[in-house]
Amino acid sequence: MTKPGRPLLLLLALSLCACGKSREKEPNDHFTNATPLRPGASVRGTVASPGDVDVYKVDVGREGALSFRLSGIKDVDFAASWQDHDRQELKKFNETGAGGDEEGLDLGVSAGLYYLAVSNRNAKANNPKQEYVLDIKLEPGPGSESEPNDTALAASTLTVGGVTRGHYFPSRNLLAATTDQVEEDWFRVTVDREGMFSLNVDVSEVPGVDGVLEVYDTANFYKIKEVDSAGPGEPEILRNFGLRGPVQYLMRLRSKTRAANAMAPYEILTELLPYSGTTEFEPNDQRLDATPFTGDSITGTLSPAADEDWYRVPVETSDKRILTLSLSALKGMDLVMLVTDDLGNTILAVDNAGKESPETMTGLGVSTGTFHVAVSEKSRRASDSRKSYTLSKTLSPFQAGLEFELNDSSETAQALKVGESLDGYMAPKGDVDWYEFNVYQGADVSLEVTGVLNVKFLLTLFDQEYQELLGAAAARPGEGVSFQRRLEPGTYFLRLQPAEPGQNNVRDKYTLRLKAQ
Amino acid sequence: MRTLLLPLLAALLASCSRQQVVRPPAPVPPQAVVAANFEVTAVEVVESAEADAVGFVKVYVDNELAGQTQAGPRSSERKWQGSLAPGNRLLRFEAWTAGPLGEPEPMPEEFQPRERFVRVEEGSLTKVLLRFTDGGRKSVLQVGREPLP
Repeated sequence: MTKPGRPLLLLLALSLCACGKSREKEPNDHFTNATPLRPGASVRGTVASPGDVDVYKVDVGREGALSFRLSGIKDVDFAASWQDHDRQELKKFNETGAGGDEEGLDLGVSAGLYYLAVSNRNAKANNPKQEYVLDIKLEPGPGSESEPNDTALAASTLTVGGVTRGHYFPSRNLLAATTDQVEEDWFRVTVDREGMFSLNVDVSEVPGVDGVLEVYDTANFYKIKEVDSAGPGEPEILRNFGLRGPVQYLMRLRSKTRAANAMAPYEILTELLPYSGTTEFEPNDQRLDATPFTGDSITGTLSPAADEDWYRVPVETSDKRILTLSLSALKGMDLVMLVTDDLGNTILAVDNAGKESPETMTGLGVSTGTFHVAVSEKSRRASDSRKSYTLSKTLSPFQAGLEFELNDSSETAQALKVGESLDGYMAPKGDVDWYEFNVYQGADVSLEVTGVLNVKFLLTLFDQEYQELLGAAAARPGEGVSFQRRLEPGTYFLRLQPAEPGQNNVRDKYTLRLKAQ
Repeated sequence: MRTLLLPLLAALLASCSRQQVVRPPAPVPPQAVVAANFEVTAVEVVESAEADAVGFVKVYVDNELAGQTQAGPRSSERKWQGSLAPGNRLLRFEAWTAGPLGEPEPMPEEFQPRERFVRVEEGSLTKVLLRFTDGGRKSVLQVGREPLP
């Protein structure tokens, strides 16, 4: 190719490119003379004066998600607004300043006419020559958010058992009725089937955006759950949200800090599983919403921060039973358990170990009744929706020779006979064990408690009038304690406690022996 | 005629004078009243009106039946008072409730209040409050004393 031929080819190529984009047809400053445009097409236009408005009439042939992209012009501060065929304003965009591009995403449309009004917000703009390019795109609707879904009433449909895409965009809802102009995306979750289900929701990460997911009921838009355990650029996860179908819920997704991202969409992945009874059934944040815990173990997550998971433990036998609970550890968290009766009165607070350590309730004596267990994170600040804890329980028959909690006071002292021995735990933290026995004939009675690691025992004997008769302390933690004394006929009480309230041992039992010499 | 009437009248008068005067028995001289120095009050916190059946509590002192409270609704205060010799007395209480057919039956052994010693002091009224909860399955015993009048 000769040198003079090259500019000619370039010119030809440029002119071909120019032929791909139509031009606006002025005057088009009103919907009555709007420039027609089809999805998938591009159009060129100019801003002849600061007050110039270009209206485009977009003929949409099918249902879908409509988007536009408007290239910037020097000095011109674009604003764009979608209107429906009745010229009802649907969504307004003004994300950038002078010279910036504007973009509008995910407008939910059905077949029909829509109008896009392009205007300038800079009164001093004077760039009538430079052209902008407006691109319109229509994508399939299902699986996409459907703007304007900024209110509960205009919620988009969330694909249950699939993926729904959307954008944290624009950064402000310029048509919001409130001054804070929070841009939010509402979704409606519908479960048509009957039964109990667990819904898992994963909201993908979007660079620069700290997403917040909330769940509302449809009856009065009451917020049931908020998930905000991750930071900017991290996913948000809702696990084991319980649904009793058929039912509808609303979800609201928003950016915590108003940060927006038009480039990277979020993806909401939902999974609906039949409820198996082995996971928590959110929301179970209060006693009245407690998840039934009838099996041997159940899993749950603590999210968002300050989440509390309540479980209901029914005991249907009138025989005496020993209830034990074990709670697995979670990274970065100090888990605690609260055990209450059916009315919510606290029976035991279990906080034996520290951060990233399992918790154990060594034994609670129970018979017919309903008990509740609340699992939470001690600081109420940590949360993690990706990691599950496991709460396990045993309910074994009571046997003579075992401690039967609660025996924490003289009023609830456990009966013991001279000549018997008994095994018990000095746990949870702060535990004190009281025992009561009768001496029917005067005798020398010896009392002995074997040592357990980490606990320095204090043993105190009281008479039936609760007068202290004798006290003894172990020499050091882990060592036993004993004494002997002549006791006249009467009722006696024995108090066993650690030297410091924090000392406890959930692994090793002590043995208390009571003998007459 | 007059000779016949006079002896008859005399005989009648004689028979009247021989009739014995019936007197009421002499009153029994008043005995010294032994003041009760021991009182048991049983009461239950019931969960519903249906659970408020009739019940009573038998009181055993030193392994012998000493008496029982009056029968009444379990939520009512049912008392027994007695006079016990001063000293450390071994007390056992046995709660009875109405069975399925209405006949009284004792609560299962594991739910009975545990046996314990209570000191009865001279010149004092020893008051024992036996408070049942949880359908009678749990009980708490409180001992108090006040001077006898």
